[in-house]
Amino acid sequence: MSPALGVLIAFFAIAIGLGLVARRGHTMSLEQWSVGGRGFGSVFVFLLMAGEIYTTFTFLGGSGWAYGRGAPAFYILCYGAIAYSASYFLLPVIWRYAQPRKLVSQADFFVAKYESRPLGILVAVVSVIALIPYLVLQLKGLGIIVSEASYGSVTPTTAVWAGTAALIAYVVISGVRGSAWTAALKDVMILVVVVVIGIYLPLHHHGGFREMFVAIDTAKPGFLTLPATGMSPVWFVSTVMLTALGFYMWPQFFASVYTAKNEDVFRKNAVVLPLYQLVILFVFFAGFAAVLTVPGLAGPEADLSLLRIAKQTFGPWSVGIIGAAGLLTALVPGSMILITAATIIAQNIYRALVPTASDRTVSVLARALVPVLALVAVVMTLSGGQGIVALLLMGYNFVTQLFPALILSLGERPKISSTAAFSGILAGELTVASITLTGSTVATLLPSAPQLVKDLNVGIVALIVNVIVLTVAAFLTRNREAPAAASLERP
Amino acid sequence: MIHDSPRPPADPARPTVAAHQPLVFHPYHALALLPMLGLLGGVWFANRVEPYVLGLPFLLFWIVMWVVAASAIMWIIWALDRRRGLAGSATDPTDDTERSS
Repeated sequence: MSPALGVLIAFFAIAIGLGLVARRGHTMSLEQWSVGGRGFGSVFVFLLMAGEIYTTFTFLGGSGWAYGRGAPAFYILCYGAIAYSASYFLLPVIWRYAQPRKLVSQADFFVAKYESRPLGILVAVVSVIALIPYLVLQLKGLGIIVSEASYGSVTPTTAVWAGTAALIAYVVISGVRGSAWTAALKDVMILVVVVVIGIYLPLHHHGGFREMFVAIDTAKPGFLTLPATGMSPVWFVSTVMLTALGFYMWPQFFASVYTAKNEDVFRKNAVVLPLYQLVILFVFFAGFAAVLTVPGLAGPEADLSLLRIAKQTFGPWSVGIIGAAGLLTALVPGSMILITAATIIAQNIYRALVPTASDRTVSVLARALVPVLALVAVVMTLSGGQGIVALLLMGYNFVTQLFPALILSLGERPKISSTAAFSGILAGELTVASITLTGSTVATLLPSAPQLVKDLNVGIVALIVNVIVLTVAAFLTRNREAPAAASLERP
Repeated sequence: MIHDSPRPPADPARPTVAAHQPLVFHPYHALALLPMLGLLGGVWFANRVEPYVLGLPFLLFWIVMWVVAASAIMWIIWALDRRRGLAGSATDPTDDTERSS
């Protein structure tokens, strides 16, 4: 066994230990398990939100995009800053509404606001469909990290199974408290590791940052700017806007809003999180350092660039530490996704269909669903090849469709009927599904459109369909449903 | 954007749960739009390698600058809100007098 693998296993054990310690002194009701009893202050909510945001996608995908695509990767740095600015105004409103009503999931919010169980079930189904590929992505990252860090002695398949077993164990045992504690460990690790390698690799291989970028610009002209067509500024702006809109629509981000003990937590986070996001800059540095140092990783292999250059530069102990940081970036979001998806199915699908179910039944069901969901994700991870990225993009476009109906519900009463919200979301989701399954882009949908329009992110199309259907349905149902929406109590 | 959609006036005939904390918008809240304008609008003319700033190609520097600015701007808004009592411990729900439901 390589020392790197030993380090990985040690951190695995620490993560599980933290999950067990975190549980002490708290009886695990559904409210404790999924929203930590609503008692988290700024630091824990910060850690949870940061923990969910810095996933394996940022660690491996961020460096992989910098390595494989260059400047288009910068979009990853942009959408967060915009979403955080909006969160200052958006999240306190959501929290203020959710807190006295004891909401535990995103679908609960739609049920309460629109007083519509069918809408809650639709949002719940959308959430789970969007979450599964996100979980698959974390497991895939886990497999890459462990097998690379073991220098090939552990196959990705074995790594995925072992990682999933650990994930299930501490999610079932400690719920969201385990995630928050592990997130604390993870954040320290990722901060130190990413900043150190992000500074060290350019200095070691190129003698400086400017020298590195000049070398890249000479070897690959145009790599450090957005191209005129394809991933052009139009693509960049439309992608940043879509991802910023979808940012807090991910059900696990939305649910972490409920863990806060007061609304000022979000305002503090809106100030600090943009700075914290600069961690991604150092991930880019590592990816750029790999461009000329470990060339030749094509297509999806670009995701290996960070670990490949680390293995070429450092000894096995350091590779183990880097791998452990990556491992935690998969475990923390993975656990949050599992908790969120299980809570949604138990609370918003099962309970909506079986209203007589007791709190205890729902709570037990939520935990029983964790291994089931994890196994579904393992099967998809091991069977799916190229389809994963397509699935993740579909997931992002899926959750973004919830944005119009959410924003229109934030006033004292929703500005549209529940039928309009339902129709808009459904139309948007069906558009996303057909676009994804047919592999359409704006260029294939509108072959005669000017290049400017062709470069738009295709997710915009689904959002436009969503808003049009929503608006038409809102006018058709305006007089019929408006009085019913007057009451604010849950059905 | 949320900034453009102020709450509808409360119906005086009906008690509201959120009435104790209305969403108030001040002109300085529009500052929160600056990072979006800087990042999305700026990318059109900042899309170049030269000049290098702090060792970064200009496009990357531009984006990093606005991410830092976003943090500073949100801090200013938060500070102004606290001065007006719109943010801070006054909204802490552990204070039962604040909870009207």
